Amino acid sequence: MPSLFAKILCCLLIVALFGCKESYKTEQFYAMGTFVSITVPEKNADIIVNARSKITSLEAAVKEDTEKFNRNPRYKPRPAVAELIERGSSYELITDGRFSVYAATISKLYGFPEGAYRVPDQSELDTALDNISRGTNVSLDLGAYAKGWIVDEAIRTIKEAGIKTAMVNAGGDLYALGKRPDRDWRVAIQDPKNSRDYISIVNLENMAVATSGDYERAFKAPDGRMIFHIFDATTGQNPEYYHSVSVIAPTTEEADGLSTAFFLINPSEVRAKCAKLKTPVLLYTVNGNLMKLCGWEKFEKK
Amino acid sequence: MKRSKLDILIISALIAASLFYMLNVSGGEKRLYLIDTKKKEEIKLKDANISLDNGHVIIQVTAEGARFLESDCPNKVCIKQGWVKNCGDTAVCVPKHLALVMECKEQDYDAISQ
Repeated sequence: MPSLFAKILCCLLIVALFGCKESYKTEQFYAMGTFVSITVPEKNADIIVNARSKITSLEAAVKEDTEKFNRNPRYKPRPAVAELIERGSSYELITDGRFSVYAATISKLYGFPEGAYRVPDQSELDTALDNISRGTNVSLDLGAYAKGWIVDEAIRTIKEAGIKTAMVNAGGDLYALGKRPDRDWRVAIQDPKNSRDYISIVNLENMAVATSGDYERAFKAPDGRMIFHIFDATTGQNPEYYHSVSVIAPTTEEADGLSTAFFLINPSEVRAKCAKLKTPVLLYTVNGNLMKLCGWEKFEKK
Repeated sequence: MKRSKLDILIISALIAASLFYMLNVSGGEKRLYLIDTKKKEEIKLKDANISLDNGHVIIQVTAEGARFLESDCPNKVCIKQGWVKNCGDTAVCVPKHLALVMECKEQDYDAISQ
């Protein structure tokens, strides 16, 4: 008879054999106007239900408070949403007011988010710009960074259950928790000009990345211009520097908000701001130049 | 040393485990999925047209992959995204809450930021 020790050793060997390839479970579902995917180790698959319900409940909370505020500006949002709105002011500062949590006052004139799309005339835009600067008759929309915040909260739910490795991806705004057994999480940044290709692959561990682009939500104006969903709150027009901006940051909210904020300012301004904030940035300019700023290349696949 | 039944059992278990492991990691195997609000369903890679949403969306499937062939959604983003053929390729029709995804055992990346 083999000794007890030998038996235990054999059992351990079997466990090790299975254990060395940790399999992951991914669930994909529709939320926040996009496809969300949650990936966790197979053995922790139960947490997906909790993370998913966290996402749907926070999405509903933001939607409800935004709608109520837009009907009645004296409405007081719940504390978590009020804080979220307040944090938007940091992006307004970075961009000298080109970013605004009230940018929907402009974008809805163009028909965003659902259509029918149209080009508003200058007098309509002037009224909207005036309203934004005075804070009256405005439409609140936290779309630029609420998704990131909700991803962070889903990650918090997963972390609090003691899970060390996971990924939550809301249509490209994502957080990579921990690392896979053999390597970091790898994220490809889509080529705005060819959806089957990518312009960079980054390795992430306890980091978020988010991308804003001019190519996902856009329509063609009668004069042939493509008009997309990001607007400068000081001009009422689309910014015209980039096809896409990606940002790596410690939270998805920051990556999400900064990718929109940086879209609104020129490359030298981005360079100065990302150095201060220590957030790596990948710019794909309208001239087709790829600019890696503030340490982006350190995250690229080796 | 004499072999006991337990030894044989353990050895068989180990061989089975190794085989299982080896089969499991034989990378490159592609699986096409169609995702909607309720479920994620695997689609066989063979020539077919799948009609969804009362015929308002048509997905073309071949041995290589699939694409959104027709959709009455306003921006036709899903059609412009083209063929879903390689590992990690996706095409998403947000207004219809539909997505095509090609998943593989081993791929270059875990997610796409777009």
